[in-house]
Amino acid sequence: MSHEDAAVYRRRAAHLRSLSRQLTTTSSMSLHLHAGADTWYGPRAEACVAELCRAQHDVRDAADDLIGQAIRFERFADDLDAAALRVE
Amino acid sequence: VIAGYEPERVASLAIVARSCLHELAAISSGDEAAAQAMKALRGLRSAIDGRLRPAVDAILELDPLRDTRSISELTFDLYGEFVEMMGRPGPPELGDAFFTEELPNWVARLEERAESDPNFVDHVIDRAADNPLIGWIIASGNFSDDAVLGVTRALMSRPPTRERFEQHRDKALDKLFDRISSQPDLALTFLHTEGTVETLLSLDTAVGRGARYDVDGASVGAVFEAALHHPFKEPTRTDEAREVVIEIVHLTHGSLLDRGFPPGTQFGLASGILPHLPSIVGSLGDLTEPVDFVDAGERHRHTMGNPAELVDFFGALLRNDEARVLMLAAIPKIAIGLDATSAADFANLMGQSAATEQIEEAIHAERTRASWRAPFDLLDTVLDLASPVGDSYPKAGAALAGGKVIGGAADWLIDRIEATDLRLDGVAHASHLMLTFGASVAVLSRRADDRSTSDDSAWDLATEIETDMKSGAPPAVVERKVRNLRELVADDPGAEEILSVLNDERIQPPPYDAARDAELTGS
Repeated sequence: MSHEDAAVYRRRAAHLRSLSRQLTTTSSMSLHLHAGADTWYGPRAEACVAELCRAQHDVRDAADDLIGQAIRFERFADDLDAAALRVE
Repeated sequence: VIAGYEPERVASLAIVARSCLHELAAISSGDEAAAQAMKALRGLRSAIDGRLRPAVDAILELDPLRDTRSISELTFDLYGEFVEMMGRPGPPELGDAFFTEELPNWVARLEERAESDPNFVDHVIDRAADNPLIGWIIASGNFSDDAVLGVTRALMSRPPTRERFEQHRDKALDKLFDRISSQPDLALTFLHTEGTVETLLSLDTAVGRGARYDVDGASVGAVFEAALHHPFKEPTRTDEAREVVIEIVHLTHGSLLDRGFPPGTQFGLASGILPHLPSIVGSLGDLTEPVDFVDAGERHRHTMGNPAELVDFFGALLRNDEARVLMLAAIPKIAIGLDATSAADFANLMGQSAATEQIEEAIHAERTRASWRAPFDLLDTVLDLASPVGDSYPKAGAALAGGKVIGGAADWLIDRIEATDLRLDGVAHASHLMLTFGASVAVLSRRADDRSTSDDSAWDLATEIETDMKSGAPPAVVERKVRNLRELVADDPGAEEILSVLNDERIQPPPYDAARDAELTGS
């Protein structure tokens, strides 16, 4: 166990946080606002929007998971740093 | 099955969806911890690309009017090309071949686009502040009034932050102002929109914007001139014009125009106000009450302003040579076309306005110590009437005639009077001379019927004065003849009443100067 291993986990954590932010701020996450009943309506329109909203929901869940994973990586990196310090 | 849709919004949805897909395509991760996220991302792309977009495209494919009303890629391509063009090392110089060779093509393309796409004008207006060449194009082409006004307002209210655009922004505004002033009804609509007058009269300052505009004051003045003359062709819009006048008058009483109107605007403003003078001179009086617009003896619901505001307004005009000439020339016209009392009241207003401006300048000079030795000496220079009156006066005459305000007003006045040679002392002197001339002709006009049969030396002298003025005779000669004319008509019936206005204490010229008068008369 070394500080280098800890740094790798910290970099991965940072990447996951960045990815999470990218996913949740893309304009795709607000596309449904352009596809409401004032734009179109009917069974096919509703099905399209429903699938879009489900997909957006999945992306949000995945983005939350990325944050959770990033936190775990950061804690693990802290542990690795602490272990490395004890060895030193 | 799609049960119903709004074509414009569906077209917009198609564009946004494409933009989303491009955005999503740029997101990726090789980290195994992001595998689930990448799967969710693919699901979102599938929902858009595999379901939503085909449905949208199907609608657009079947829309019978899609070619004419959709916000097509062309709209954005045009803008992209503009941006690319402006992204050159520098925008085209004002004399560049672009304006003769390329600009007409752009005008034609945008005209065509505006014809077929109802959203296009809004789009152009929205983009105008980012690319002032759009202003050039709108001003040069055959676009709707909404497009002209919308782009003009966009350029006036949202100055570009990129400095190299500003030259084109200002020149585009000049062209747009010229375009607007060529259409007086549009000019009035423009000025009657809230905030426009104040913005126009402060373009040369950074007030409220942090950025100064370098526009042609004469173009701005021409907008005011056109707008204020328009009601005399379309009387139903008189109230609008008067409200514009009221706003201008009100603004001159504030700090914004403390040093007068923006350079170059004064002549247009003065010419614009001329046809309105007959509506207000009747209620000037001693300048103790608010001045109203009066039509055919009935006081209008609009008050032009209180006396202090009027003094500031006309004072701001008197600061400019050309505007000053127009105002002074109006005095005899009022005497001849309306009545001598009104002319005397107006002459009094001119004198008070000039004196107030003089005081304000002295105060300003005192505050700004650097210039205290050379204060703006309005009273001493006010009669510098040798300026190109010949060019400006016919315009004023046309304005008055066009407005059918003062019928039969003389077209000859103060064309070539050298103020300094006359040794008149400011506005009071000039006003009194003009009033003497006007009142004398007003008396003469009562015996017009006898003119052809009698030995009327007074008419001959009036004609001679007219000729002198047109030919630029020595001012001292003109002044002497005007005094003689007054003597010749003094015994006419009714003359006493008309000429009595010349004794009005408010408008008396400075005291008798023996040395000066001796020199003038050659004695």
